[in-house]
Amino acid sequence: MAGPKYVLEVENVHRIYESAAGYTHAIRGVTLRVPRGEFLCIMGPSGSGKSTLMNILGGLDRPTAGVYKLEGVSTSELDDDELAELRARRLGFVFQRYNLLPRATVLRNVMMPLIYTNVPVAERELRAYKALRVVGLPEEYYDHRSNELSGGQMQRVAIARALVNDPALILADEPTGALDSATSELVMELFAKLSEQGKTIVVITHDPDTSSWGDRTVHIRDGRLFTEEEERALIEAAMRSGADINARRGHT
Amino acid sequence: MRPGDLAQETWSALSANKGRSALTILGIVIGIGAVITMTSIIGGISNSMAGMFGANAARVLTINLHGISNFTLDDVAELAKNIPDVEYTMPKAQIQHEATYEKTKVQATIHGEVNKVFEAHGYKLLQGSGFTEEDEKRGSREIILDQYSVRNLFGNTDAAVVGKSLKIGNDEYMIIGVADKVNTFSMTQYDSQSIEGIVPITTAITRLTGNPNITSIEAMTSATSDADAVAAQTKEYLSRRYKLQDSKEEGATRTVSVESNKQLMQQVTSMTSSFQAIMVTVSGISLLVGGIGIMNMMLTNVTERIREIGLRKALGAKRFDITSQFILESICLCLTGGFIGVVLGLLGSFALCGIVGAGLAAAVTGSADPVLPVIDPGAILNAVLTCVITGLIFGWYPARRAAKLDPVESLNHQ
Ligand SMILES: Nc1ncnc2c1ncn2[C@@H]1O[C@H](COP(=O)(O)OP(=O)(O)OP(=O)(O)O)[C@@H](O)[C@H]1O
Ligand SMILES: [Mg+2]
Repeated sequence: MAGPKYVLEVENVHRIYESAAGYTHAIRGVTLRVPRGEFLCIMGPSGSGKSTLMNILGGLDRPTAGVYKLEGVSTSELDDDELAELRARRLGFVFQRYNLLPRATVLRNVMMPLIYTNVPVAERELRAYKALRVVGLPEEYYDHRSNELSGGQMQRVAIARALVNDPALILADEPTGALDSATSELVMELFAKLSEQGKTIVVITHDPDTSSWGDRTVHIRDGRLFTEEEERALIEAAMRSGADINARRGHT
Repeated sequence: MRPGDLAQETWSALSANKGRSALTILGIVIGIGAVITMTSIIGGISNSMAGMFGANAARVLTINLHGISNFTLDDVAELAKNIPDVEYTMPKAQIQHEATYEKTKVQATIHGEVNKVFEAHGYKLLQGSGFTEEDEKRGSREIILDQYSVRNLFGNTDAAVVGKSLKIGNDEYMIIGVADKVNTFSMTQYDSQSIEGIVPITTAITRLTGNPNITSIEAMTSATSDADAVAAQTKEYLSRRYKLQDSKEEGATRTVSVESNKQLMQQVTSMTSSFQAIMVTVSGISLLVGGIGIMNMMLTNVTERIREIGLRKALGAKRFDITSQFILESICLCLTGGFIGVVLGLLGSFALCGIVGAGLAAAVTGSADPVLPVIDPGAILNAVLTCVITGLIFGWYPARRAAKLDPVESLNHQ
């Protein structure tokens, strides 16, 4: 499919939360471009603004300032229902805690995004089967309720669900956060495979092992993005001065 | 979202919560059940009442003359000829008399009637026959008793009595028939010392009263006419023809009143409709309580399913998709309650009528036929519609709340 070169373009985006406790400046001027087909990892410590950024990229939230364009469309110009339509057609989400409907079967979970885009019933199953074959879940599980599966299996179902609408962008927030290292490896391998097939993928993580699977990694700290080189320079400078880099990252 | 998908989501959400759903709809079940039971029974009662007055009751005019001493059967016949919308007239006479059968003496209420009265009031002959026009003209000594009179004289209502003779005054009257009743209200069922019967009107005035003056007449109006209009016409005709005075005039002595039974029937209707009004109120209250129960459950549902709502929104559900999903759940709950209520209500009305139907009939209409519940499709349709509306109203707020949830916050909800 043609279209803009960049699947997503983030221009000097800020996100300020307003709460009873006061203002939290969670994203402080982020600029980022992701070309079609790239597998990008965004890495950062807890509280650095990863989820906040991911919500903006996923059209679940809008920037307080700056412009975020998904396939050339600025999300700030869309109303809630138009954003929902955009998510239904162009985005696939993978969450840390899978977020499957426990009482529904694997197949129904995977087909769920399709009911919101009015895909004909006959086509849904075909698409769901296709997605489930891509993630490699054995067919005998398709009729199981999703709460009968292991964590790794559930995450594969969730990835199949993210694939089923053939999205422009797959967004994963800590997809390996709830899995052991062997299973994490399998899941990341799956993302790498999808990337080889041309999918644009953004994975958010705080784990360097996970981020090593990506084509490129950017670092986020205190709501700002750094390239790998900037990050390395920062760490070296910190080591020379004897300062504790973790203190700056806000680690506990 | 397609309707089929909506239905499937609703079904799976409701069936995941069967126990709670069942408890929640109890209020609706009871409300609708009570309404259906009462409407069926009230329908039965008003049917019994209509039965008591006869199917044609609304068409009958009652004419009463006052202060006139020479209004004869010929005048009655002339009346029918002069008012085209009067199909036939029924002159009446009533006498209290002692009657004897063998050694049994009873107090008899004798009605002098024309044979048409059976048709007009829906009296049903159980034995024998009515009298012929010939009998009417001739003034034959024949009598038709009601079934309880037969019991009071002969021991039971089914006794074969046609052909037997009864002495009234100095004359012997042959019993030619037995009817279910011979009068709208009759005491023979309760007073075993009394009987009631019909003799031809000519017989009554020539042999029993000895007075040819007719003061009470009923007139059957044609089916297509307005009974009230014919009543006015009749009154006008009689007043003019016999120089009668307006009863409102002071010192008026020669007057006539013409009443249509329409008013009587309207009283019956207004009684049943005030019953209905009470029922609507009671059911309204119970539906309100039931509806609040539903709303409460739906709010709990929304709170419990916040993560699911967040997920659905993340996957592309629009506000309308979420709203319609929860509203449909609420409507389905109410409708299920309504259907169960309708079924229980109908069963309840049959059961109640089985237990107290006979007593109810005796108390309300004095008839021996038990009140039978009436299944009113209109009431059932109303119940169903009410349930839909209740579900809509009380599902609205929870559904809107669900639809307005922020996707990020809901996804992070613990
Ligand atoms: N809804 C909110 N209201 C107010 N502040 C918020 C809200 N969500 C996040 N924050 C704040 O914004 C900052 C960034 O939070 P965010 O959830 O994006 O971090 P994160 O990098 O995803 O962390 P983690 O690795 O723990 O998930 C934090 O300081 C957090 O307290
Ligand atoms: Mg996070």
